[in-house]
Amino acid sequence: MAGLRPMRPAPRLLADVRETETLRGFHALAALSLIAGRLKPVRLYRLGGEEANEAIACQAFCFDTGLTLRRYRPLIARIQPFDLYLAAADVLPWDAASVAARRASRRTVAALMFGLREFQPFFAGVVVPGHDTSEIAARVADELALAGGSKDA
Amino acid sequence: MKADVERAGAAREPRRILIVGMHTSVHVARWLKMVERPDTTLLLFPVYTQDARLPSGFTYLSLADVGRDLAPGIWVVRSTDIDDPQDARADLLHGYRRWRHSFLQGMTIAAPSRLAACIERFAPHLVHSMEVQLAGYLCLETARRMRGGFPPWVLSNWGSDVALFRKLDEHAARIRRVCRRIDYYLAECARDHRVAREYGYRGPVLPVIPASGGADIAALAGRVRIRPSARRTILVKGYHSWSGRALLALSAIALAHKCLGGYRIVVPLSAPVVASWIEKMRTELDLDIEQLPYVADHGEAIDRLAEARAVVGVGISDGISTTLLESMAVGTFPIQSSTACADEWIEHGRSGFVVSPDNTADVADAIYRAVSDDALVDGAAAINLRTVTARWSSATNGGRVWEIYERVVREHAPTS
Repeated sequence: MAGLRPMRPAPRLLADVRETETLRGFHALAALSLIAGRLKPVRLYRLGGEEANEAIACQAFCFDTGLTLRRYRPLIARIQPFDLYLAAADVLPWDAASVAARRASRRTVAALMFGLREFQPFFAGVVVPGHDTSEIAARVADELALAGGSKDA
Repeated sequence: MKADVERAGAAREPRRILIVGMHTSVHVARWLKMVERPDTTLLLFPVYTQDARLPSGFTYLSLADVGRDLAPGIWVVRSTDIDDPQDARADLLHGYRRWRHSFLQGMTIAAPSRLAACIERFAPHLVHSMEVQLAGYLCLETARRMRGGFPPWVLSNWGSDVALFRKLDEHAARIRRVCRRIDYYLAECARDHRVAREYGYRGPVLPVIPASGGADIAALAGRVRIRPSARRTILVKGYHSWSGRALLALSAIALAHKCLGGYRIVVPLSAPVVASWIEKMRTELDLDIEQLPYVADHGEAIDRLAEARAVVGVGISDGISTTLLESMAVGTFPIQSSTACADEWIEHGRSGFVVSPDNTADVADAIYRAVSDDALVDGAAAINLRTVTARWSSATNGGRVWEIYERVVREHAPTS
């Protein structure tokens, strides 16, 4: 047994793919696409993705990246919290699903597009300017301690 | 070329061509005008029900009035005749489900049995389905039911029909069946030829022709009033739904906003959520940005485009965007996501920028380059005008399409 290291469990990322009046799931998917190669060891879950346009975006993402987006169910987090919750939004969302997702995750990356000057993060995680998808991608990679630098080759 | 084909056609049997497609589509209307000939009867079978005023020179008729002896001209089957309550039962018996886009809820999609009746009455030399998900699927099922009685079938691929929809669970198998069944595949992107082959198409490789057919390039270019480098407007395409990603384009504008002083950003065709962003961006970033209302007049839409220094189009999938081709004709510098086949028309960094739809920083950098390099945008305008003159002229492409139609008729002529 000498020389064998204990296997690190696969990091678990919950991505909010809802595209609504204020939630920017398409920005979140765009950011994840930029680091798709490095997300291979990560178990990805999606919050949302049932609405027609979101479903198209998710299926295209999976086809293009070869990654799988598993459907999020609250019970999954009760058994084991997610390592990271990624949400992109105009301003910090307070709907029940968003609040529950933050609570169900050890850390949150909140990519916010507007009103950042007044914002003070209160949860475990970081707030990043949401307009720059490469910056969002870099933060996700850093939070999950993914190998390979900030960008995909 | 058009004149040559017209002369060659003088001695031939009058042609009957059945177009299956959207009777409300400007692309279909332009295509029909492009291929109209004095000795040819063009009949359009609509794929959904909708009251629509037809362009000048198009005439509605009932399905009962369709026949082999229909006079030359452009005819459109009344959309009320494309379905009957009993057709739902036939669909059930055949195990067929009519597919519709989410934005077409409430409309009735055409029944295969009505299209079969139209084909039997009209006896066309060929069927040309324009677009895959409505027209193509309808023809596929009609062909299955008619077996050997279905005429030679030309399929036009529009935009994302194959490039995006093959990625979707609900469509992959259907697209494969379409590709295996069609006789001729008319793509608007060379990239789609490869996909069609991979999915089972065995017919010839035909010239790439945009879904819009072509345009009067000289007339478009004639609307230019300001040289590109003197323009101070950036136009951002406002579609944000199943394929368009206007908010990612606007995020790029937000990232580049410090270099956009003196510029006005205009966003036509914007969804409510895009309009909301425009308000926020104006307030927070002090940007001169506004949404533009829809204009029905094509000339007015072209004038808007011709006033812009650059046009930004971002989406997860597209074919060759008509806005991009129009921008090339009027000297507007194109910045287009790599998920369209813009790279088959423009040279990245020289006559436009092909950018990742996922990387807003890259799009922002392209916008910065477009507003800061006068020589680049003026040089690109000259190159792009030459490109669309060679490849998007309706006079030229009309002749190319007739060469294809005549080839289809020739290759499927009954042997004596």
